[in-house]
Amino acid sequence: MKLFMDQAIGLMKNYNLIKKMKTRLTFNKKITLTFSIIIIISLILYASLIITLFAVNFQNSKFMHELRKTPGLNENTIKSIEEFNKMPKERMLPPLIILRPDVLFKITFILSGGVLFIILIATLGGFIFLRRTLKQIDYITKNVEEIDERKLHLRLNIKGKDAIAKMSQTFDAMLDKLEASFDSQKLFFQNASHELNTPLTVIKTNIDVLRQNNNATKEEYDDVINIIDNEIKRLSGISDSLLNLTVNEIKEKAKKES
Amino acid sequence: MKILVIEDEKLIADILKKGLEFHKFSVDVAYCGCDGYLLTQQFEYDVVILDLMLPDINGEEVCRKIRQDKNSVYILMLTAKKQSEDIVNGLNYGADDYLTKPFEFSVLLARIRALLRRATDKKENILEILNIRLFIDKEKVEVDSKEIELTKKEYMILEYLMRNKGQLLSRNQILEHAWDRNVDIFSNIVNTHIKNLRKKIGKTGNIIETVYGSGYRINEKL
Repeated sequence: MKLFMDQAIGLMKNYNLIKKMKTRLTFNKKITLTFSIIIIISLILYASLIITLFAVNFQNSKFMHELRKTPGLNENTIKSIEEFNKMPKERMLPPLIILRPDVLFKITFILSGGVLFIILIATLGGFIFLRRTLKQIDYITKNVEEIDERKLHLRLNIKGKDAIAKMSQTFDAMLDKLEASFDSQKLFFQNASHELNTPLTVIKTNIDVLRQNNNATKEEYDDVINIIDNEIKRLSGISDSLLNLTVNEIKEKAKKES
Repeated sequence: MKILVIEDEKLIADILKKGLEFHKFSVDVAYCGCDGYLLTQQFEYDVVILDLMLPDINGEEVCRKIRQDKNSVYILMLTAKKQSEDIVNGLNYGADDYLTKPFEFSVLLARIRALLRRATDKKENILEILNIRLFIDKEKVEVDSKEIELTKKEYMILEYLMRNKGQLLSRNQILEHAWDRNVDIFSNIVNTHIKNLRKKIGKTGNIIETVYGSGYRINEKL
């Protein structure tokens, strides 16, 4: 039981390690790793193919050698086999696909070499292209991370017509819209604040001036009270219109959604 | 002391005029930027109280124009714009002080007096000539440490003369500084007030010297 527990804990530890490894690997590194694995596997395959070919050739020549040593075998048979082996290529007609071992060896060698070459080029090309794209994405991420509500004027400014450039241009356009809406909101709040401030200032200053006048008459008091009354009406009017504005906005949203 | 209030909100402008006149300033009011600017060209003000959000040309523009005329009148911006960038902009346009609405009237008063103090060498709230002492913040006058009762206009004339002691001030200048722009400039109202002032000050009343055909000045040597 204890042993089992230990094993379980060991497994857990391993799992954690793998998890850590996974989180530690960035996307960039993962791609590098994948491409290098592809290259290594293709190199191993190619090497094993070459080794196999050499082995076959070696076995073939050994077989011929053994054949010659065999007593009682017809000399003619050996000769015909050897002649076949030394036959010039021109005489091998296409329909008769009987290839001499050395020709077969050469063709396989060239073909597999070509395939390996293509695989290498494709992998390398893909790798470089991906790295470049990733760099652009990294640049975009870094710049976008910097943008907050105070730095809405920042733009990515990537020119071009590829997908990434188009994406960043769309992003810039979105930022334009956001900035405009932020600005208009700011202006609205400024105006609202001004509208609210004016009546407050009128009330406050009237009270201040009245307070400093120790010999104020009843008429003066009445004047100030009237002014304050009017200004309070104005304030409540402003608050009503602000409320109406938000209510209308909510209604419009509901309409759009339905 | 003469103040110009440029403020489009009539209620604020009116209560400012009322409050400042109560504290012995003469006040002109302009309800838009153009009027205000023209008034600064016509009259010699000590302080301009300037709103920033005006219907025709905005306050910053008015301030810039006043400074372009090489007019060094003190400008106090009084506005609802509270953000620090607005304050920085306002002061950079040539304003001397900045106050945001809503404000405490006593603060406004203190700031106006602080601005006026800059014009004098003495950074105190007391103007003193011989045995006459004028307390700017308390708005009262003492002769030989005894308070004397002055009317608003008499106080304003005395303050103006004492602030510019030794300088010849014409009747028109005195009229402009102690009354608002609706005064009849051909009246001899100044003469009457000066006569009363001399009587109230008593022995040293004759330091207010009459320069015939020109105006008045305070002359300590008499």
